Amino acid sequence: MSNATKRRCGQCGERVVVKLARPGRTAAYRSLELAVPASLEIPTCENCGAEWIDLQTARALDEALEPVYQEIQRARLDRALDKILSVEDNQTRIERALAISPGYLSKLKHGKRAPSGEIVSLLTLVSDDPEHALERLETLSKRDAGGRKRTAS
Amino acid sequence: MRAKTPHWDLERVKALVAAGSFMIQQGRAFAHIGGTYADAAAEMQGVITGLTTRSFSHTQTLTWDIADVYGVVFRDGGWYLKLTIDEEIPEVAVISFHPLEAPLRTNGGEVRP
Repeated sequence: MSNATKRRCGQCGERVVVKLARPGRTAAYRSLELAVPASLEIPTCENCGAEWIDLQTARALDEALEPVYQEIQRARLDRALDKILSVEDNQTRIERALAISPGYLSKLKHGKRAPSGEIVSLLTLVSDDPEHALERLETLSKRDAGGRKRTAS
Repeated sequence: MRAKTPHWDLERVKALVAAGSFMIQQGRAFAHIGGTYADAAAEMQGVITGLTTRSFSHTQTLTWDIADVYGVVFRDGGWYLKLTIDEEIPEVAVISFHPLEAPLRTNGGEVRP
């Protein structure tokens, strides 16, 4: 491809942006930093290395990264739930402490709901020390509810 | 005070972006929007096609080109948007799109972080 037909890099100004596929790249995808498949072409400046995303590349990145993201999140969720439920098997208590809808944990556990990034992060955090985390959340909820009662009186 | 005029005709910028003729810098723009790439591109498209000259701040002369800077309100905060047109393709290049670090004066007034 001659330079005349190449796209210009808005970063360094050189007209040397070409579709480049190479190993070792990562991309921020939702809440995770994921490896970009080596075969995926991203318009990249041959001079400064800046990557430029157009609509076609955006779609290709989503198609490649979404399944990986979902798989990682599913694995994180399963690990976190296993750990939490091994310490506390009362799902109602857990759901109440986390302020999530009754039955939601069961739906997550059985794959009937796709977990949000937020809930996976929260459960991962709680799973680090489930008993203390749940106790702490319950204590804070009681404190805040108590504070509300005093304000109202 | 007279309103400043962008170097790149805003209607031309909007038409190119609406037609999908644009590319966004990965590190200085995409990375700040987050989410999926298609959603982020659609959000970027929405921001640019919704621009008015009231959001225009100033024109920057770069070593190789000229870019227009806008201050926009996005996700309840002020954001910095820098773009240019590559007329040879032609397409809009979004060089920067990130939350403001300091207030930015635009034709419509000051946009705050």
